[in-house]
Formats: sequence, structure tokens, C-alpha cells
Amino acid sequence: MKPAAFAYAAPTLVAEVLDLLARYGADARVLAGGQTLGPMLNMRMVTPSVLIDINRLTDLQSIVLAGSGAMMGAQVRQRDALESDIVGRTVPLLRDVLPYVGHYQTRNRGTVCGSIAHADPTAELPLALLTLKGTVHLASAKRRRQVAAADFFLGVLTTARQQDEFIVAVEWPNATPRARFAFEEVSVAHVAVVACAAGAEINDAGIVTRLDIGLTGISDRPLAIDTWPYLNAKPGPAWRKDIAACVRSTLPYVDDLHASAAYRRHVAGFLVERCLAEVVAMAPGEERVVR
Amino acid sequence: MMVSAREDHGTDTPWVGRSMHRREDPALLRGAAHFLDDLSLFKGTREAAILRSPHAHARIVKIDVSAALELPGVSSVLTGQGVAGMSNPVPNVLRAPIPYYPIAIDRVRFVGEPVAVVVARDRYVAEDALERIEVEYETLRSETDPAAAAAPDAFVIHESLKRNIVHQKTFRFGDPEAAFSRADRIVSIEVDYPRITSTPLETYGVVADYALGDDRYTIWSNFQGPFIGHSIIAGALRTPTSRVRMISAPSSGGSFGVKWGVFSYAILIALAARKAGTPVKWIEDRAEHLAASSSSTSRRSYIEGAFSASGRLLGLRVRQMDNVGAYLRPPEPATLYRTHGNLNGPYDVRDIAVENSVVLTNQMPSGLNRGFGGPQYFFPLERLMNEAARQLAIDPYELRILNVVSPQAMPYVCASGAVLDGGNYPATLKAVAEKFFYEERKRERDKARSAGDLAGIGIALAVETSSSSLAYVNAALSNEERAKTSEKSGGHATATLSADPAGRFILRLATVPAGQGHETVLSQIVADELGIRPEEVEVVTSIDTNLGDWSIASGNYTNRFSGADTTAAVLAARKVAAKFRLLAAAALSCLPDEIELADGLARVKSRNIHTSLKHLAAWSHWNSSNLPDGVSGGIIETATFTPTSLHAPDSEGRVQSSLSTTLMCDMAAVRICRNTGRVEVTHYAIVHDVGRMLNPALVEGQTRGGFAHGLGAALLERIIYDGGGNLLTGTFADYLCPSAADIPNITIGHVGYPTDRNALGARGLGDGSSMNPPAAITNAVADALGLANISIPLTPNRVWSLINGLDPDANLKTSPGTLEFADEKGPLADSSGAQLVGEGQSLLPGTPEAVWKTLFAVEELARIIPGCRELIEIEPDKFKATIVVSVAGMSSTYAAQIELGDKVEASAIRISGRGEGGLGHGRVDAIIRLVRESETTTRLSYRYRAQVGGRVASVGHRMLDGGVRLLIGQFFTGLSRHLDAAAGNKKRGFRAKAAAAWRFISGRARP
Repeated sequence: MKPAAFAYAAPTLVAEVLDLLARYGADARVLAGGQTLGPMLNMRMVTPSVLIDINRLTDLQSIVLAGSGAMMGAQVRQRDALESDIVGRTVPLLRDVLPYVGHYQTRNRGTVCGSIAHADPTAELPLALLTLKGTVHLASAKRRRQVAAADFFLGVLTTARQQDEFIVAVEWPNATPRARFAFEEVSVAHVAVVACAAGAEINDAGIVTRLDIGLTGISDRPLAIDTWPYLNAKPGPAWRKDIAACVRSTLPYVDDLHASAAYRRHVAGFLVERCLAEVVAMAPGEERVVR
Repeated sequence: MMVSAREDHGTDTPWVGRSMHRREDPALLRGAAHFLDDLSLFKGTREAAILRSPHAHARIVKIDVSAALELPGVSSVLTGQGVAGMSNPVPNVLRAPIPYYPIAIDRVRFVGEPVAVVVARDRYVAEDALERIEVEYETLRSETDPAAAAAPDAFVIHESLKRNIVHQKTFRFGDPEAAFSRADRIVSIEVDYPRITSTPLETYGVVADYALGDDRYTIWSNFQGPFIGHSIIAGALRTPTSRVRMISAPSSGGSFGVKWGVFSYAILIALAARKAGTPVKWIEDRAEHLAASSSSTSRRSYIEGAFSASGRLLGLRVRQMDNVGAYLRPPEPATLYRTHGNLNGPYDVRDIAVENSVVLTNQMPSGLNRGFGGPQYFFPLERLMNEAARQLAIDPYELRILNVVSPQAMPYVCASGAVLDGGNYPATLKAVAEKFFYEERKRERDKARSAGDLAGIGIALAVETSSSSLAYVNAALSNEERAKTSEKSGGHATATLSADPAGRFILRLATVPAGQGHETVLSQIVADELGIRPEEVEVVTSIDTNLGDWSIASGNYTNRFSGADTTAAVLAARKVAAKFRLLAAAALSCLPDEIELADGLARVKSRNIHTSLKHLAAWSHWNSSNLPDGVSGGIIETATFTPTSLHAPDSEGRVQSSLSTTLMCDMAAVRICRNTGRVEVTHYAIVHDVGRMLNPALVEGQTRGGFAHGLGAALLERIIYDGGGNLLTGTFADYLCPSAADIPNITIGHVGYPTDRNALGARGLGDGSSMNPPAAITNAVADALGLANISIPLTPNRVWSLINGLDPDANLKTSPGTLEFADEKGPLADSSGAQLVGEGQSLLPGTPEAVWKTLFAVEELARIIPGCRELIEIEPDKFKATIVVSVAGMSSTYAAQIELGDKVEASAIRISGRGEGGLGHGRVDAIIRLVRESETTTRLSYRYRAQVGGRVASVGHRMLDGGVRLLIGQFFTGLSRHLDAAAGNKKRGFRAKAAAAWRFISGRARP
């Protein structure tokens, strides 16, 4: 379990990273926290000719509050995000999700952008970004662009990032004051089998005015459902059941060695119901639903 | 808590029995301990990497190592032919004609079996060289299902055998037929115990040197014993035992039995060193460990109990079959026989029939793992007791109280030969019920149930056999076979204690601790015997076979430390004490019997005179011509503890398999989520009778560690092979171990009935606490669900499936039958072991005729197949291709063969392909159908079965399905683009739409 030989570059400027990516493209890999890339290199599942270590960059370490959301640079560790006041105040779902990401030890090193870039089909951070309708900020030597999370995750470990592009930051939209969030996961030995994230806004009349639901672990990437049929309704048990039924019937589910598709389908609906019960219970004027 | 202060109780209280801090810990906690990989042993040592089989079963047609040898830094490559030329096969216990070498000779028989060893400047270069070795395999049918391998018509894994069942033997103790005819109720249960592995933190490691001039091997390793392995290794190396020097590293990071399997690699790396002409180091990596170290056997058991109406267990009938994997590696079939002397477990039942069999499959060879045979036996027995309680409507606790051996019957000679040497079983069982608050837990359970929740309670008992007899495996032999082999019995231990001229002590004991704290306990023992402080005793526990103070049974296994090794230390210390008394008697002019050793002094209490041990030690070393008559110079005493009760099996197959026995009683309470199948262990209590506790903190540590292993087996762990023989659990992402955060708190209690089988009264405890949790937790789950047929691991998916009456392993099974469109027959050839199936459609530009032409025009197809570097038609409808498959940034070059069949012009075709490359191998069978959708478009529907093996299957199974879909997506996007161009279709919109349609359709769940 030793990597194949590679050239190692440790640039200090983002421009250098982009130059290297422009030059080497698919033959290059960006090393951030290395919690997944390290083992993949060691197992020779990936054999890049150049490894671009971004740990010496100085300008992508912070979480800043931009106009519409929290911008998280490529070097922000998962642990820093978890402990960030900005995240706690403006992206409460992310604060709920981060303790489920990897293990305590791996969060010290693993980065938020790295997890987004890797796009593991069971990973919690891509799910959170998709559910919150976040944005991936990409840069290459030629251009900069932003890709909505919904367009970013394409399949197993596959994203819309082009070979010469670098994820400079991800942007997490600010939660509105009325928004409530919930996250639920069923895992085996810390590997998610099904995870669900939900966000909702409920107005003073008790009507749902915004609803976002995402699931991961079920297929080859995180998936969200269209929620418009369930807006402008009073959330009750029947409403929750309808949404769970929709999740079960419209999303794809796969078998793997940890669970069957039938299991994933059932649990996805169950977790959706639980998440919805939680967000509704947190809304003003609603009785807390206790399971 | 584990940690308790080192309290000085004064010399009145013995050191043994105190929770002393482990003297091993400061170095371990500071990263200063010396493990094998830390040692710099021989100048010029080179490193080895091992090429391993990606196939479950294949003939090795050709191995070409020339490109590997050309790589700068590579010294040599050793293959099976080289090994066969330099060594002998390792014999097996049954003398079955199954040649076992540590490397494949002409056939590979399990995924991960060594095929070649590269020795190079460092491990990096060695692994580079592995990729340059070209092996041509002719793949053969494989079988990883033990039941199928055992079938009379199954193909045979070893050509030298007639069938895969290599051992079958029945035993009859008492009169089981009479017991069953007397029964009011016969309860039966069939259970499977899966393959698991104990996953020590430190993997295998060997550093070997071969001295050409005098044909001598020096082998450092983390081999744990028993040192019967030394003879096996020397025999394989065709070298006299005295010329094979084995040395164990000072520290070892866990063994749990697994490191017995190092013996195989000790042979292989020693031969690699001989071939390379340099010392060679090999450190196993985790992927190698999970694929090819040693696993437990899996066992299928059918067990029947004859019960009276009142619940008395009258008789037992057991049929059990162990799956030992691809070879019968020593000491197998020991897993079956470890518990053989104690088939009754803790119960008083004397009429027992048992039928044992052993089957070979294309899986890694089995061997020692924590519990070794105990979990496989007590799981079915305790499931049976649970089921009997349910059927007889007796409380499972009461049923056990009714049946356990009574204290008056102790020592109890079991029907199959073991001796339960003491203790009070009902009292131990009562103790666990108290610790667990059994009545209160039952009330809680009933309350939860009435609220609609799934709640259950489970009990499990087991007898842990400690300090195994060398002879128990021979119970597997027939009387005639045994008559032909030399008789084996016993299991002795040796210790040497010396005092240096300054009066400091060194105890040397041939054991190989792997973190258990042997040194701490031994220093406590010697301190008590000599009236000194533990810190005055240095303890050396590593083994060097050239130092001679070891024997066949030496090592660290079957809990022999507390039972046998400690007694050897006591005996050696007593010999030293006797010598001190002789010296002191001369110095103080008194009789030796008047001397008392305490506080570092030899004193005569009545006369208030004394001399120091330091003084006496100096005298014995410095002034040895002036010693009392009959006293030799220096203080060096060796003592051997020889348990005489460990006799050979008798003609009926009865054997006392161990020196002492430990009763363990566990109780578990669980809650189960109906919707997710998650099992939460809400309460767990363990009470063991470990006899006298030598160091309670270590007892607690062993208990908690064993529980963690048992919990893992109950809830998570299982080695999984797919139908094609591929290992799917090749990393810790798929072989699921609990982490510290997943272990619930447990309540531990002890009752101490000292054994009289050794000097200190301590019973073994290392294995035991891992044996019960699978049975206790499964019994609790069975109680919660009201089901009898439950297998482990109890993962959320499997428990939910049980709740809903579904097959808990549906996700691992090949969909049977044929691959066909609903309206069109078209079975796929040889779909055995297929693991990925899918279907989809794509809307393509052009008529079916145009699409057909493109699909089967070689040059065009070569452009469409993603990553196709070369496509050559070798005969009509047969192609050879070189394809760079790139999914998710992982790319690898594959040599592929593609075949077309069942052609119906412009309408339907079957494509079969297989390929082999750096990341593994795969085959795909697909059927494609074309239907005219409109004037200018064609709807292409396809169904496929894909089978993927090798590295990519063992590390990324959960992503394979998605990966295959990505590849198919690439193909159809390419096809669509190509047809677009061919049709001169400038409307880019169509292509985008077609791609989107594909994404939508392919995203559908498969049926």
C-alpha cells in the first residue's frame, strides 16, 4: 500500500494551483486534507503524475460572511467549520451535519471543499450543500464560474468540475430567520446507509412556504425532490406521509453490500417523515412531536 | 474504570491481586515501544511486496517477471515455482493430500493468495514492480458457498481430492438415542456463524535473513506461537530446527490468535531472502491483512436438544460443518475440536451425539481468531437454550439455572472428556442476574412492548477453556490414524528467574504478549514469592528459539498465560527462594526453614536477625567457591510447569482439552427501531468466574476488549465474498468494526472460585468475553422479534429485513434466472456470480439500420467506446481491445475480449465482454434492442449483467453500480454524438436531450 511515484507541488498562491491544473489536468490531483485521497493514492486507485498540495495557500483558510451566504475556502477544515460561529449562526443545518462527517480525528484534517470535490455517494456534506441549494465556486486559469449544487454532483465520485478547475470555495446560503432544519442518518460503523436533510419555513398561519428535502446514501449521488406540490399546505401527518411516499416512489435506490434497495427505500421515507416532524415541531406555534 | 492507583498496601498484602498500572504502558503511550517495523535489524535489508491473486480460482498459465526485474532497484522476484523448488509443503493435521505452500504454485484458490514476491530497494519500488509482472490466468469455476461446495456433485477445489469435504467424523457419548426417545419435547435450531476476523492494530511482519555459508535462517517476526510453528517452518524450509532461529519483536500490537498465521509468511519471506541473497523485510498492509491473513471459520450448525417437560436438557445432537477456506492449514480442523471436550457447555448433559465435517471453499484459509471455536459452538448452543425456553414457556434464566452443573458435581468430568474444574455455576448465573437487574429489565421490556416497541432480553453462557492441551486436535483422527502418528498430550510452560550480582531480578518467560500486560503480572508474582517489590523484577517475554528456554506449547494463545505461564514463574521463583534460604541459613547460622523472605531481606523473625537478598546474590556470584555445600554459583533457576492432566484423546474420542475452565454469563437488553432495524444495546452485564484475579485492572481491560470484539461480531462484522468469489470486504469501509464510540457501557461483575489446577488459582479470561455477546444479543433480538431463525451480524438492513419477512441477504445475492426482455427470450450465458444488473434506454438519432451499422462497424465502434485505444476483429464477431477505463478519476488499462452473438439484423444483439487490468477484472453481458421511434430516431433498450472482481471490487463495492452506470452513460453519449455527426445533425439540442433522457432513465431504480 504505497503510492505510485508522483511529482509533488506545494504552491503558495491560487494562481500557481490553477497553472498546474491547466498544465496537467486529469493527471493532477489536489491534496487538501487527504483523508480520502491518501488511502486512494496508497491503494493506487488513483495514480496522478502530479500532486498539488494546497496546504500552503494562505488565502483560502477562512469562513467569511458574503452577502448571501457563508463562503468557505478550500482549506477550511471540517472541524473549523463545526466550531465556527458564522456556521452556527447562518448555516444551522451544516452545524447539525458536521458531527456525522467521518470521525472526530478525520475532521481535524479533512476539508469541507475536499468532501464536496470527492462526491462520495454517502457523504453528508454534498447532501447538505444540495439541500441548502449552495454553490460551488470554481476557478481555472481561463475563467471563474459558479455551479449550483444541483448541477454539480453527477454520479459516483463524479462532479461537474472540469479537469483544469479548482474548487476555490463553497457558498452556503444564509438561513432565513424562519427557516428550520433537520438531519437524520442511519449508518453502519459511521458509513451512511441513508441520510436525509430537510429545511422548511412555516409562516405565522402555520403554512409551509418553503421546503427543501435531500437524501444521500441511496444511489450514486445526493438527490433532492421537487417540493412545490407540498408548499402552501398545513403540515400534518398526512402531508408528511405524502412526501415520504413521493421520496420512496420517485428516487432511485441501489443495493450494495451494506443494504438492499428495498431497505433504503423504506428508510428514506421514514427519515424524511422524521425530519419533517422535527422541522415542523421547531416552527413557532407547533407542538413538538416526540417519537 | 481501568486505571487505579498503585497503592502501597505494605508487604502484608500480596502484590498479586492489585490493580497495578501496567509497566508496558509508558512506552506504548509515548510511541516508544519497539514493534517489528520499528527495528533496524540487518544492514542491507531490502523490502518485499507480494503480488496476489485477483481471482478466486484460476490456473496460472504463465508468469512473466522480466519487466519487473528490469525496474531499477529490484533485486529478485520469487514465484511459486521457486518456492516449490526450495521448500516442502506444510503438512496438515489430517494428513489429507492438500499440498499447502505459502504461495500459489500452479493454481490460485482464493482472492489474495500470494502469486509472486518482489524484493526491492524499498516497498515503493517493490509495489511498482508488482504492476510489471504479467500473469496469465485461466479462470476456473469457484465456490465460496460452503453448502454448495459440500454437495456431492460440486466441482473439487483440489484435484488430489475426491470431494471438498476433507473431514467427517461422528462421536457418540452416553446414550443419545435413549435421551431423545425419553424427551417430552425436541427443540432444534439451525444457525450460521459467519466468517469474521479480529483485526489487530498491528498487521503481520517478518524480517528474514539467510546465511548462505552455513544454511541458516534468522527470522524476526510478530508470530505469536504456539511454537509448534517453529518446527513447521523449519520443516518447510528443509532445514534442521536448530538452524532456523526465530525471534519475536519486543512489542506486538495485538494478536487475538490471528498472528499464528504469520508462520506462512515466515516461510515465504525466508525463501525470498534466500533467493534475493539479502535480508528481506515484509510488513503486511491492511488490504493484505483483510484478504489473506487468517479468518475464523464460518460454521453451519444444526443442533437438537431433548428436553423434559420441566425443562431438563436430556440429550444433545449436533451436526456442524466448518468452512476452512481454500486449504486445510494447521492447526485446522482445530476450530471444531477446541470445544470438543466440552460439548455440554456449562450444562449437566451426558448423552450427546455429534457429527463434524470440514469443507473447503475458495476463501482465505481459516485459523485462530479470538475465541477460536468458542463463538462458533456456544452461539448455536445458546440459541438452542433460548428457543427451548420459548417453546417450553420457561424463563430462559430459570431454564439455565435448572440445567447448569451443580457445585456438588464439581469437578465435573464432561461426557466428551473435559473437566469443569470447579466454581459455582448457579451462583455465577445469579450474580449476573443481580448485576443486570434482571427482574427490573423484564418489567421495562414488557412495558416497552405494551407501548408497541420492540424490546428484548437475551442470556448467554459459555465455558472458556484455558491452557489448551496439545492433544485436542488429535480427536479429529481415527484410532487407526492416531496409532500411526506419534502420541501428543500436555502443554507445559517454562520460566527462568535469575538474580544478577547486584541483586536485581530478571524473569524470562517464553510467551509473546501482544498488549496483555504479562510483564506487569509476572513482576507482581515474583515480588510476592521473593518478598521484594515488583519494580525490582525485569521481565523478558520475547522468544528467541536459539536461547532454548521454550517448547512446542510456548506462546500466547488459549489464555495460557494466567493458567500455565504464571505457574512456571511461581515455580521458578520458588526455586530461587529456596536457594536464598540455603544461602541465608548459612549466613545467619540457622535452618533454611526458619528464613522468611520479606522487604528484600532474608530474616529470622524469632531472633530479629537478617541479611539482604542483594548481599546473598552478590555472594553467589562473586564468591562461589565459598558457598554452602550443594549450592551452585550464581542464581539462575529454570522451572517447568507440566500439567499431567492433559492426556491424549481416548479411543472414544474423549479429550481433556484444557487445563482449567472459566464460566461466563452475559445478559443483554435491546431496543430495536421498527423502521430502521437499528439494534440498541441498552443494558449489558457480564459476570465471569476468573478464579483469583491476578490484576483486576487487566481483567477489566480484557473483559471490555473481548466484549467489543463480541459486539462487533453480533452487530456489524462479516467477511463477504460474492458469488464469483470476489472479496467484498477489502477495507474498513466495508469490513465494519465498531469504534470506541459505538461500544455501550457494560456492567462487569466477578465471582472468584479459584482453580486448583495451577499455583495461583487464576482461570483464563482472554478469549471469553468475546464469545458470549453474539449469542446474548441475538437471543435478545429473537426475544424482541419473536423469531427463531436469526443470523448475525444484526445490521440495520438485516434486522429490518427480518422484521418484514424478507431475506436479510437479498442485497448480496445474484438475481437468479435469465436476463431477458419481457417480450423476448434471450438468456445470458453463464451469469453465475453476477452482482450488478441494470437496464436503460436511449433515444438515438437515425434509423435502426443506421444505428446498427454504426454499432458494428469496427472503426466507428472504436471511436465510440470510451477510452478505446485499440479494437481488432480477430474473427467474425470476436474482438480484442485495449481500453482505458476511467471512472471517477480512477483510470486503468484493460485488455478486453468482446464477442457478439444472437444477432437479429437492425433489431437485437447480445454483447459479451471480459477484461483484465490493473484495478481488477470484469465481465459484462448485455442485450441490446433497437426499435424505430420515429422517421429519424431509434429507441435503444438494453439490459446488462456485470461482474467485477479484484481490487476494485474489494475496496469499492458500494460504488460499483454507479460506476458501471457512468461507463454506460459515457458509451451512449459517445454513440449519440457519433450518430449525430453521421446524420449531419447540426442541432446540438438533440444530443443534449438524448443525454438528458439517458440520465433520467438510467437513474431509475432497477427492478
